[in-house]
Amino acid sequence: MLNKNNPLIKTFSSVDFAIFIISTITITSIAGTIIQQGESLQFYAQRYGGRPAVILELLDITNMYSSCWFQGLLILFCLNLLVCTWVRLPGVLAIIRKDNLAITTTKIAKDPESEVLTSKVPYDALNLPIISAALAPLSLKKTEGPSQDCLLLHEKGAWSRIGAYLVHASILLIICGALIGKYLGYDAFVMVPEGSAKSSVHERGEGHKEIPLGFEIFCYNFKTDYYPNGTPKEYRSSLAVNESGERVHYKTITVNDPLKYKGVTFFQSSYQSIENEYKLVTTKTDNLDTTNPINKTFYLNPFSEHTSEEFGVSFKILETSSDGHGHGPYKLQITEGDSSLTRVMNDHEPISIQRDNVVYTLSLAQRYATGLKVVKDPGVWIVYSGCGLMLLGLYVAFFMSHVRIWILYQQENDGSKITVYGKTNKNNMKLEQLRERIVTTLLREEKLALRRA
Amino acid sequence: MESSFILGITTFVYMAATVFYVAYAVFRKEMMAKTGLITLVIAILANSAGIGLRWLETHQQGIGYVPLSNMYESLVFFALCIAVLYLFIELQYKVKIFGTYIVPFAFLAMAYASYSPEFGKGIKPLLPALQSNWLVAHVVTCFIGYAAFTVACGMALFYLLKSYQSSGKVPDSKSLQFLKTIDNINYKMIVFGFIWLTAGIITGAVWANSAWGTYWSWDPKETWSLITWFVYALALHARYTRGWDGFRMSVASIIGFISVIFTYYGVNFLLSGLHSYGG
Repeated sequence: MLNKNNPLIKTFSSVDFAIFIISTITITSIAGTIIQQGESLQFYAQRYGGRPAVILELLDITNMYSSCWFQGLLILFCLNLLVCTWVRLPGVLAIIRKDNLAITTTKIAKDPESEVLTSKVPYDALNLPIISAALAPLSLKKTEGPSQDCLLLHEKGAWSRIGAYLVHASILLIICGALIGKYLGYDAFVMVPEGSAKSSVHERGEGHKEIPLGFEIFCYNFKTDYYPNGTPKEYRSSLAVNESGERVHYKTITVNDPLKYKGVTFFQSSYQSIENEYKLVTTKTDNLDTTNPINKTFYLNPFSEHTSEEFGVSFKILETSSDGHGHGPYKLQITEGDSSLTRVMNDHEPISIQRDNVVYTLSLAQRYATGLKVVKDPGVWIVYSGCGLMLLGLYVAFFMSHVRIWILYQQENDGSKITVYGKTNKNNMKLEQLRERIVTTLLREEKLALRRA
Repeated sequence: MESSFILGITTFVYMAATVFYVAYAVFRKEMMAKTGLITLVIAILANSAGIGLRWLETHQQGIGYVPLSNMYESLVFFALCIAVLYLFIELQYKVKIFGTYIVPFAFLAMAYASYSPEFGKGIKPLLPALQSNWLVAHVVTCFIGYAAFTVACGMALFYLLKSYQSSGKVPDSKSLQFLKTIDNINYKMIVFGFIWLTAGIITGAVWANSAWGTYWSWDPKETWSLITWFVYALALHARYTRGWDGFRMSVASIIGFISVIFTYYGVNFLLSGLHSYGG
């Protein structure tokens, strides 16, 4: 199928080429971590001087990992892996499939590494079941030779020889998954103000292309929790998904716990306070019927009247702070008909107002917009399966070995002899232990009356 | 008693173990290696107790987290991993002289954690991005890997020293066999570390995907972990296809270790990126 002597194939399948390509990726990657990525031309000009900055920019070293030449290197790396596998795998498969009983017995008998046991008892085919029974815990294959000899074989883990190829395949799978994610998915961003919905998002990178979601993402609430020492503890957005006018999904997300809907994932990424807008959360409870409180959220601009027909009142923020920062204490005016009252409220601290049999709970705070990273990545499960395959492949490649042990029983002079010969592709210690176990088991069989030569 | 106090004392116990093992290398008295081993076991117990107590302290402060979240805590865990790994090697191979080249690394890691003014030892609540179970999986896998590479580097240094001492002499089969054993441990530790590093990179990628929505962003820390992975991958390929062992494998192991240290330490302090909270 593939001509192994083709010079191009030869180059691509050579270890030297693999080492060259991996080294190049490594060295350029190092450069990419030292030279900051994705900054402006001015930044580089300031740091390295005008001319070097232009050269860096022209060679795409400032956006190295997404540059054509770096991705070209990765493609070369993939080709190298593919060609290596193509050229070498058939040989490995042949070794795996090989019938190891079809071996010339003289080779086993003559090998200096084999362990030889001799006996005065002559060769007898009736002794074979004794040998098989003694070694019963091991799976054995057997052929009887034409003249007074019999070869037994214990073989294990032949397929473990493909371990390294599993690792190589896993790298290709991961890169495939990454490409699928890159070309069929997107990486976008959206700011959703509290109390509003967005039906499209903007792609990151050049152009900020608008992508319609096909549904609406609604933000009820954004909140930051703080530790007592003032560092942020949790960023939390309560989100909902609206599809054709209906609320179909609801979730409160935090930094490590995103919302997923129809292959699109929404991550808590940032937030923003909306200048000159405040959120008033109100609850109206009737003391005669406390089971059905009415919750309503109003978004207010300072100094302008906001009327709620449902509550029959209007709200007006008279003051947003005493220090000019706009985060309270606030002064809120509530008007019902002709009467009005003014209350001082702290940020996020609810107050209660009783009117006849009705209790109003009010809480005023800055209005926020939550910043969501929106990702669609259909390739991620391919990448994850690649990762799993890689760990499996590494385990097979390093911890499993192909063990073959031949036990040759044959006539010698007046007596008989048993030769035990083993071979493995790695882990000689394990092989020696197994061979020694077989030898001692055979020595224990009184009928065979064996001893070490 | 505070955990940082126990861990401070642990540093001295590691130092004592180091002194005993070095003394064994110099005076070759069996007694010293035995004392060294006992001291090391005490250090491991104290080290574990320190980590356990710190865990308890985080819960007492109401912010309960596994203490693997910053440079200080990770160095403390690093020291423990090196020591435990060495313990297995001594039990397996019964060669005490290896301790002379490995135990000092555990001591250095612990001493650096305890006495460097660069990083705070205080228990600080976790930033939102760090609040994930993947934190534990990621840090544990990475540091078992790093510890294995450290042990490999210790063996590589020992190999170079040993072969330098015997250069010019006609090597007898016993010392050749010993060099082969050192080389073999170096190789095995690289393999062991490589698998854990792979797992560490993967757990990191899965975590990044659940926190930031991207499993790989060519952040300097990620890139350096990949560079380290490539360095060891090259070393392993050179061993399989070019038969690298002994001297060349030792040099590869040391280069790999330098890359590990840069990934772990250098990136946090010399380059900027997502892992900046590691300090």
